[in-house]
Amino acid sequence: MSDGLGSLTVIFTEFYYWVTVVFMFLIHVGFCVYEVGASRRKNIQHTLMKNTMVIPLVTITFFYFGWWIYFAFVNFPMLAWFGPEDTPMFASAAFAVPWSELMGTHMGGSVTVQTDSLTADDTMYWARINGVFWAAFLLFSWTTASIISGAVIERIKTQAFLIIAVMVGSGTWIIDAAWGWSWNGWMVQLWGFHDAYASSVVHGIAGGSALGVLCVLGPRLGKFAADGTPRDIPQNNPWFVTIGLFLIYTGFWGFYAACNIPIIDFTTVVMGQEGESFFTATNIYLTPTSLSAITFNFLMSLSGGLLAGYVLSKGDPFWSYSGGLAGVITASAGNDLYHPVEAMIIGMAGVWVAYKLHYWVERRFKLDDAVGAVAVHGYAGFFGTVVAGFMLWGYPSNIVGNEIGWFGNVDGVAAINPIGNFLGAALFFWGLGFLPCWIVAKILNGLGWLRVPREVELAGLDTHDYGDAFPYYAYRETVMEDIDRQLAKGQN
Amino acid sequence: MSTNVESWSDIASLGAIYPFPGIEWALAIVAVVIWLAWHCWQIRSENAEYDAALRHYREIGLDKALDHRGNFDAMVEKH
Repeated sequence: MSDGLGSLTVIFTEFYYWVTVVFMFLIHVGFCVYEVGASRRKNIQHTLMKNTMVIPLVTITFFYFGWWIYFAFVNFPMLAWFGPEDTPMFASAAFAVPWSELMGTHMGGSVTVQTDSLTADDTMYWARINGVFWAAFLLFSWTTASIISGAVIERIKTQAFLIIAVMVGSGTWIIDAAWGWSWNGWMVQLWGFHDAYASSVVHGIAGGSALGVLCVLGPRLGKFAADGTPRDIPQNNPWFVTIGLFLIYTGFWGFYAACNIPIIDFTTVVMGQEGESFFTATNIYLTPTSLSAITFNFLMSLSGGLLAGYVLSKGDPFWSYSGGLAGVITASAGNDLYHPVEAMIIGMAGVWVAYKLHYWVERRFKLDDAVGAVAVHGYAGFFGTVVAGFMLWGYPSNIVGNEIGWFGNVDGVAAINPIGNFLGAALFFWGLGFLPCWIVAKILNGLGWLRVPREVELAGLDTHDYGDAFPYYAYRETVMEDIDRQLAKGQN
Repeated sequence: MSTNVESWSDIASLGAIYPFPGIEWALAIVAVVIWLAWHCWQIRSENAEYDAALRHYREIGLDKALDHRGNFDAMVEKH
């Protein structure tokens, strides 16, 4: 930290990521507001606490092993098998193990436990950056886990959800990030995979995970009539739901900023060239973009999504706001590079896909996704990743320089391409999302840990414990309360 | 094939890095068409919605229509 420009760059980067963490907190405020609003009155407090406890559990497990996974799994297993000779199965990540002194307050001088894998420069850098970089990724972890939370409200046991949240938040998503959302992950080097703002890396895997749980959990009692017709279960506060989504939009700005490297000398540091410096922001793959570009594209894809959601749902607040979110999620895979109008159109297309598929899956498979999470995150994220493979076809995907791309190489690296992006999206949605969660949900169900008892669900998850969330307001019964009473008598 | 950039090695010389540079005019026209079409749709849709509400209220009488306030089940369209 003795060089002025170097120190300024490091400390600016440290502050930058800190600010993004603060913004991303709003995503979680939004999730809590949104899910509480979507629940019926009898389930409000249970829903709130189920989602809230994601925060401490994913935090501590991400400290214990999640952060290490991100760095250690970049080669596992494909690059070890198909990459350059002597590529280790697990990469070294000495600064990310929970017992490393660089996971604590550190001034960047010598480390007490010497390791061959850390140079003095590494130590100096990670001493400043580790906490804020860990925290930025942690907020992505909370987000991935919380996405599942909304889909499973009003009937899942908190114990089951929190086990799944830890698995997804500190396990499966961070594996997918190591593979497809890092500057040197095997999916980037071999498949040319490109997903700059995590359409599949966060949203696709979260949607697939939610789908896996929903398939085992089953619908809420009364969601489907005897003839299979789905009922709209009234939300206790539709206004709150949309404010929650609006807060999520706000927090999403932090997410986008956190996905970038804010400033780096591209020519000398990234490309290793001699000569003049060229400072720029980059995406996580260390290929160029700018904060200005992603600001254009975030707003235009949000707007495209809102416009499409409004038309499809005829102005329904929930689906209009969800459309805005799905628009951003769809365009995210390529929002580092798209033209703003391209981003808008792609966002609109993704919302159409998500909306239509949500209702088709609901009718066809009797799937009760209480907040449309599988559609808004899973289907939109999957679709957006595939679209990016076409739209960015032929761009260099990374800066590593091993010409080992399976589906085409350009300028010494794997080229972005539709096959690589499709395979990556499918692997994340089905392989790392759906399958592990379906398996774990089956195990939890077998243990009796997955779903609350029928009587508890009908009476309300708050009734025996928290009591009424609005004790001074009279209880007004809707048609769903009649249905609950019929179900309680074994009818309907 | 490539939709635009084929190398990051000479970054100082790069200009537009979005896919399909050169179609900016077409994109601008498409964007304006989408904007105006959305307004046309929205105006028609909103007016049709009020017409349907009016028909219903005239059928049941305004007194009864006022009784619908706060009743979730009134005129709610199911998917």
